[in-house]
Amino acid sequence: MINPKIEQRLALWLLKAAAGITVMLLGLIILYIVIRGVPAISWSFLWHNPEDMGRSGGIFSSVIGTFMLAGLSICIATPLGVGTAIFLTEYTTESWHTRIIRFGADCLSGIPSIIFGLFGFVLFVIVLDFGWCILSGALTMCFMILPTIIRTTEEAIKAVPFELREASFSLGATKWQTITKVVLPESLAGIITGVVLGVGRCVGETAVVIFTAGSALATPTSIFDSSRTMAVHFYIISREGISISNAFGTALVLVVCILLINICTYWMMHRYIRKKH
Amino acid sequence: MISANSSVCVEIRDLWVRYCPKNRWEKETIALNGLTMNIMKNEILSIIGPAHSGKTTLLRAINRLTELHRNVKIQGDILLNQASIYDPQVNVVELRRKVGMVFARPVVLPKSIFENIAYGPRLKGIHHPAELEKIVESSLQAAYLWNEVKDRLHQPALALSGGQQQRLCIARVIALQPEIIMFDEPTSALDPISTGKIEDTLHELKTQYTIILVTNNTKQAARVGTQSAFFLMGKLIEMGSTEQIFTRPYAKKTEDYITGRFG
Repeated sequence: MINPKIEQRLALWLLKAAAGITVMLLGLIILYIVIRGVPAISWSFLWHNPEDMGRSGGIFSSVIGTFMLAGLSICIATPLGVGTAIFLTEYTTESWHTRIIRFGADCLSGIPSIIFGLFGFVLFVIVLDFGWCILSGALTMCFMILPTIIRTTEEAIKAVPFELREASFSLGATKWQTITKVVLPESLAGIITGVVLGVGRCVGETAVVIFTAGSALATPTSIFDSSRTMAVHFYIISREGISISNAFGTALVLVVCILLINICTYWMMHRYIRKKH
Repeated sequence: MISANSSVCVEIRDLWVRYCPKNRWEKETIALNGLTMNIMKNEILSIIGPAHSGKTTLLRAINRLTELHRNVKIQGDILLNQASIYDPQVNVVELRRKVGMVFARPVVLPKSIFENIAYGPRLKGIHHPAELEKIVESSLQAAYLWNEVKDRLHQPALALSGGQQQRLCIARVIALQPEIIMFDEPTSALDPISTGKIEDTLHELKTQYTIILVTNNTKQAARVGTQSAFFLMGKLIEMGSTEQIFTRPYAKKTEDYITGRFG
């Protein structure tokens, strides 16, 4: 038997080590990308389109493509996901119907993205004849991130105390008024977290994009244009050995974009919550 | 159904409330067991009784909050101003505006003090800023909270102390201009000073509203109520003027409870 005091110390030490390793891994990855990527970054790298299949030139078109794709798929997935979550939590009681919907959503989140890509390719690109374009990509990506948004929104809505709903009802609010004026504002932070997770998956996705949005190098001007995202651009130019330095430059821009999106949303959320409490 | 007595505000007729089991191995619980009573206008009726005697269930049946739970079955009838509140024609939202409720724990909405009080009137369709400001001020004054918060109306209501939050909840109900205000153990989570302030408020409110006060504190019932009722196991054991109940109760059980022999 170990002395409880020593046991306690040991446990604390192990937990600290676990946390330290996690942070170190993240730090290492970012450091590596920064070191390899910074030399490629320049004004023209950000503002010019790729030339010679990405051997030279910049990544402007893929930055635009990334934002269009992620933005569009979030715009489609958020109302669908939040709506489903509200329906499941507020309008249904636990029954076999809701269990099937939840189980379905969970299964959906476990399907590998390449299968989503293939499905999106068949449905949107071939059958519906949208061709390789941002719309096909966004719709397919929407399937992929829906489960995340549904489950995080559900958890956020469930975390709103029942007393608040009762208070709202007792003040003469209808169910819908209670949801929009009390439940949703109170669970907004959790919902945004789900949406941000979704954005992260969209921005980092490659398989789905290659299958459904194609890999055109030109700047997309509408959602019916084909485009490659930064992640796809990185994949293609590094895998085909076109330009490793430009690949790391792209990776750096991608990581910075994700960080910026996260920091901005958390900052906005923080301000919003502080205003309320 | 029409009642002859016009000073009766709420008439409860053979009310049964059952909580049905969610699954096979749970037992059905009967919260109210054939309750019949009249609640008079402009009185403070204090309802006392041990835990699980159906006091809170009665309040929730009167403003139909019981409906939020799907496993509740209600039989019998409640008449508000001689009209049944369980009539299919009744607008539940309108009913809840007429029958305000203050809960045991203060539940402020995570909004500003002003927004908490303006919440109900806004839902009613009052949007004019000047009108809302007037309602907020008069409601806060009626709940004796105005002087403490008038300089920080737009600050978060969650920053108030527990007693202030409870008075804010009272103000929020007053802003709806209800006929009846129901208090469900409003001071059970508060310190004696806040309790005193809320009891003072109750006395003032009596002139304008019918008040139903559920309380675990028999002394509070004696201090505040003009009428008192004693509930036990979902049944009304005795009801009468507070003075009579607390000095010469008819039922042995009432006497035992008041003198602290059980409960």
